[in-house]
Amino acid sequence: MERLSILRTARYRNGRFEVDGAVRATGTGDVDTDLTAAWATLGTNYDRFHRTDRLARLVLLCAEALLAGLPDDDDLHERTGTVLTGRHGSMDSDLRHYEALRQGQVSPAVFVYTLPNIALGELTIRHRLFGPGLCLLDEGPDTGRLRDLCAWMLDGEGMHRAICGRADIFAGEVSATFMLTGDGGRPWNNDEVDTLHR
Amino acid sequence: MNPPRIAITGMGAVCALGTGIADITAVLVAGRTGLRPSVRLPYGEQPFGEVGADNAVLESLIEGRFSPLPRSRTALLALLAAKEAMAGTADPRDTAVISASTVGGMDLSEDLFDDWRNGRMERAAMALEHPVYAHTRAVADAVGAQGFTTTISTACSSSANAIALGARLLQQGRARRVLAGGSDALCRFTVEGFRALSAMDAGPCRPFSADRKGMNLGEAAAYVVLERAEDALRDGRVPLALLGGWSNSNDAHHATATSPEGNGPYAAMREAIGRAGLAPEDIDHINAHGTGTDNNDATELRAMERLFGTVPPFTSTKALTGHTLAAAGALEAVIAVQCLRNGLVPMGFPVEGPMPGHTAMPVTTPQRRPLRAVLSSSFGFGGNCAALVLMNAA
Amino acid sequence: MNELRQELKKEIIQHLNLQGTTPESIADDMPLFGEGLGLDSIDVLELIVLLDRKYGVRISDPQQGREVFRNVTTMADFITANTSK
Repeated sequence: MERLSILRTARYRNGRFEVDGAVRATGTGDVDTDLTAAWATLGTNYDRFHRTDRLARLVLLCAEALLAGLPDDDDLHERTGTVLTGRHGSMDSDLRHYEALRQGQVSPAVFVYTLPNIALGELTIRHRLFGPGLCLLDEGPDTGRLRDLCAWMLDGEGMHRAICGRADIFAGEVSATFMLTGDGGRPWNNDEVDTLHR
Repeated sequence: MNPPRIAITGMGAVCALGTGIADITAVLVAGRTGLRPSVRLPYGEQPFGEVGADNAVLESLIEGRFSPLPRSRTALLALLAAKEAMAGTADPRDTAVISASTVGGMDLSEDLFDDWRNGRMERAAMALEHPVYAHTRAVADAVGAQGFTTTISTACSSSANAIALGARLLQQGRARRVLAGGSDALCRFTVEGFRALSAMDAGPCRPFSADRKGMNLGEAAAYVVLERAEDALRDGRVPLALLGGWSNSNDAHHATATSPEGNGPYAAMREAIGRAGLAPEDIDHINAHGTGTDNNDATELRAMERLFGTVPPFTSTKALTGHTLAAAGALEAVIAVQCLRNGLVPMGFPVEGPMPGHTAMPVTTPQRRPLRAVLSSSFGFGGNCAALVLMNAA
Repeated sequence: MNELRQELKKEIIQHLNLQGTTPESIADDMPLFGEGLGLDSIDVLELIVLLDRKYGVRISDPQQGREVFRNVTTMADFITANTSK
């Protein structure tokens, strides 16, 4: 399991956005404003960001920070695995879809995001990642499970990097914890991962 | 050293074709479809692959004491199928459960939402059963499994991924036995969403037909019991089939459409076959994803043509069961195993000719002959592509 | 007629959440799909919904939608042709 080391981290807690421990943005309290402001700190040009739902924006934001500056090569596209976990999944869009349904105003775009793995799909589309991807829902975060999943991607699936993200949006709480794992970083440390996810 | 072979030692399923493996197989062999107008939902003549039992009947069919029973239909279907799958396991304790769903308890929540908004008592039931992972817990409790539980939600490829993850964990020695599969019940939340996507055929779906107009939704639950083959043999359990290969790839093209060349599907099918130690020409039959939508069927067939050249006999059983969403991967794996065991290549929708730009057509007459290896494909929204290779244990 | 086209541009931007796009940047005959504004298959469905709810004009077949939504001019023409005097 030598490939399982941590290369980069990104963390979002209600508007406060940190990349490798350095604060990039702090929150104002408005979910959409804060996500947009955090995204702006990355200086990236990908308009699709604004057209996705909140969960996807959260995932895109963190992944963008994790992958910033990496060579845009086959190694990235063919050898990066993705794992997304969370407790509430697509609840934010579920509720929107449900309200729209009750008013007889169903939106196809909103419905698409009632599957939690669509956020993962948006990530793979943005960065053209063709490796394996998995989306799990649990009460977590469970450091042991995250470790197993990363090990699966790196050892079992032969990936060189694995993005391991946990994202949740529910009842006004917006949080995400993302790790880029692979070769050449600092060894996986359960305590560090526990703390990161708090 | 070769990784340990994975055996399927138990199966359970409930879908529009019937309740239980024996019923489902009989209908499959007889070549009858399970598509019909819904009894539970108000959609007129729109065909669905609905399970022919209401919740009260499902409850009565779930054997053994388990109290309180969940009220979500997704969970009830799951319990029924899971219990059937585990019936032959003497000691269920050392079993991990990996289940998949997209609907979760939404079938219950959508009815209770008004009560919840108005602050009435039902809030508790909804809060407990709504999460997608709630049904997994119910399944584990009902079958007496005490290993870890995990829930997967990757749209239409969900339960195929559950099975693949189970196999991987067995190979890594992380579990003694895995119950893997999924469940999704029909509910208005989902039906209205697919209607808004213009993804449904108002009549029976016609996978791989030139004049296909979309999918029919279905509901189902299906589970397989996975063990290392050597462990099964030691316990005197005869495998029903072997899980020879599995894979997952991202198409990374669009949230709801597959790339024109079918890149994700191609990669997934190729890798699963390779992992099974086989070549494409070793595949005797394909249980295709075949939803009946314009995009899926064209891109899937393109991918199959790229991989196989001459495509082996392929069928979409979604013409019989409807698209059962998260349960599809596991249901179609179960159907694939029954095809292997019975020497059957079933017919889906009998097309009259190939789709424009293609020469291959799906099977239009059921075939009876020995099969060694069956490929089962499941490609989900978000570009998540999974494939399984089931092999005859004989 | 020009009013309708201007209004449609604003509606498209708002309905499809095209932040960073101004009505001025959408030419009347600019292709909405592929090169041009770069809309996709879900956007077709959303525009069908927009036409139905805001303008009372129905398109039942998404294939027809591709023609109607070729550009803002074709959209405006379709609405005008299908709305009674």
